[in-house]
Amino acid sequence: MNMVNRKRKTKKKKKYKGHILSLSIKNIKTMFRDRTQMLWIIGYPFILIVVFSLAFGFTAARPEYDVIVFDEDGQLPENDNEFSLLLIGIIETYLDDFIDLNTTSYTHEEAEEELKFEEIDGIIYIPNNFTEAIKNNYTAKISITTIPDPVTEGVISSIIKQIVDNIIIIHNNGTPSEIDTNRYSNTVQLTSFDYTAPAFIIAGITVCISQLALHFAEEKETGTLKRLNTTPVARRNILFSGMLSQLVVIAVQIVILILLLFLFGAYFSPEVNIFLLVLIPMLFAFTCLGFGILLASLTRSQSSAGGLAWFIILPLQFLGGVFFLIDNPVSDYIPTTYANHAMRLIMVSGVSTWEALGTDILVLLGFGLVLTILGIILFQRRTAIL
Amino acid sequence: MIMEIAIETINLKKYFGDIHAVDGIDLQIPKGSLYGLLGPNGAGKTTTISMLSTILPPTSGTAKILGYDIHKDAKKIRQIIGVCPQEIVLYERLTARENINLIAKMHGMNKTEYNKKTDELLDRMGLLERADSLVKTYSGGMKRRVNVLMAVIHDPEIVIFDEPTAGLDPQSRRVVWDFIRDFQKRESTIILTTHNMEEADDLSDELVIIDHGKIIAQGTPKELKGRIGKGDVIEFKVKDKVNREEIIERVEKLDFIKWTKAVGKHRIILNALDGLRRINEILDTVEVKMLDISIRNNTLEDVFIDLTGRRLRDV
Repeated sequence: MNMVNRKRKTKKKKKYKGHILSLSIKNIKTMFRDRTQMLWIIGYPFILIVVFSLAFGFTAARPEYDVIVFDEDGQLPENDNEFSLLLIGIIETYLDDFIDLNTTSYTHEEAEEELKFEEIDGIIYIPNNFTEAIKNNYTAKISITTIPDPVTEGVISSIIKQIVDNIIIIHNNGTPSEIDTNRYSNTVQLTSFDYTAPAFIIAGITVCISQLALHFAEEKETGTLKRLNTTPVARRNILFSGMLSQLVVIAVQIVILILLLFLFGAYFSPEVNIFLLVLIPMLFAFTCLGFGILLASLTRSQSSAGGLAWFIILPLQFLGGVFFLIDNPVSDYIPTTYANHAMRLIMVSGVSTWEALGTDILVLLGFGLVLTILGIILFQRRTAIL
Repeated sequence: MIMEIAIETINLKKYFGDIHAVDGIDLQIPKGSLYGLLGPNGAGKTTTISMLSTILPPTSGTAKILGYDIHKDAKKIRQIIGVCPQEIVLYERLTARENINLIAKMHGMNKTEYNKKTDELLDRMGLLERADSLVKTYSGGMKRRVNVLMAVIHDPEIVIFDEPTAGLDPQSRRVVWDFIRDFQKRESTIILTTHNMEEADDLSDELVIIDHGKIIAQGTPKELKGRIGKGDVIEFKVKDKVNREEIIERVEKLDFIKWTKAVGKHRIILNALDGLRRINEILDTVEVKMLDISIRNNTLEDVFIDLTGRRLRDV
């Protein structure tokens, strides 16, 4: 009796296993027979490694910092400037592919303006008693002001301190130097979160790429797009309606993102221009929707649209300096770079001039227009036969 | 009297690689008629109407809808046609009223116009009470009825119904048929694709039978049924081991038998003049046990069987 029961149980279990196997095979077949989904399945590891290698590889490598130096050492008649010249010489000779020094053409006001707009990464002030301090064995001080990025501040100040301390050791093994560092932020001390927060808004918006692609994939899957195509409505109008509705959703999302950042204590400059704070993300959203249309024209199912969207979102987030500043030739071609740059200036530095933001705005507009036009052309062609 | 043509197709073809979905169809559909396209699944009916609806470009050939060319005047054509797709195509998260109004807006109707019309149509289909419920809460039959209404809200001159009653229960099917008949009275030209012979017979003024992308017969339902003789159709089933060819050979020798066909694995259909009265003679001739015997008038399905040797639903 027991034997019979055991046999029955074994038989039942085998049957159950068969079901799992059959269903798994079915799942794999349906996945691989959707060509765009297959592209995502196979392409995902590639895109992940390529993007992360480009992003983290270049972060770990030494980016070039643009720095302006004001050498006031030796300006008093009784002092010379032997060691400030040595410091500058060492940087120019041995660290020229790491720190790009400019020692001449700026006034203090001009340099601070450059720093404010993040055209340079830092300013080094060598005081008039620098050489004298080293020679007489009292503390040599250097003052450094950098952009609000904590990484930039840390890297520049530690390198300068190391060089100066080595000069001191070689000369008389005297008192170590003192580096007074500041991050440019209208006198407010910023945390790393404060500097990254504006980019969180931009990162949040990239999701609209998949939102738009999913919307049209759903219309294709359910046949409603085909149904609309039997009415006099033009395909480009269907497309614009998709973009418009997404822009409304994004506008709401932007307001929520800003409010949440405010609640979580992110720094907003007192001079922040609210209009620009919303405009730049909207312009970036326009660019993202351009990507979304391109994607929508290539995908027919929601599963492939959702997957393939990451082919675009990952590079935008990791190569455009959302989570950390990136010095990478590829990032110049990533719209996120310009959106992040503009958002940091507006939110952290309170900048709202065309001079500072014009390039970013024009680049974002350009990206948006080109992608949207390409998307419309491709969408019209690809949906001619549904 | 010269017949006015609403839709004309000239050697219309659509190939998908090696598959000849539509292979040279010539149609002339009179204005104001209800024209049926009858054929099994995969015959090319939906492909034909997709080309007429301008959403699928033909491989070659052309078609004119009220004088507008499908290649050049797609936008004009879309203004004058209404299409009810074979699948239920609705926005599930909109109400029935919102779905219908959306199509009305796409056709440029104003609010007063479509509000009145939508109510009228919903009432006609028995959906007015549930008009403001989300479509996702509807039964399949209710959705199918909304699907039909979306094709006619703008009073199109040409309406294309692609299998409008597929999957409907008999009661709902009757509601849709009555609606289509009523709509035709407004002098619209209607194309109806179906693989339901009863639907084609009951509704069509004229029809074509399509198989493998080609027209294999054309005429009014009466003319088509007349082609296979005026006798009764007798259908029966025989057991597995019985040789049907031998039976057919024997039966065909009877002078009142017009034609015979072996259908499926076990069935034989024959057309006999005065079949009901002479059934005993047939029973004697067949000599084997006949199961599931039925005697009926000619149907369009018999026409299809006569032409292809297959049933509509077998394909």
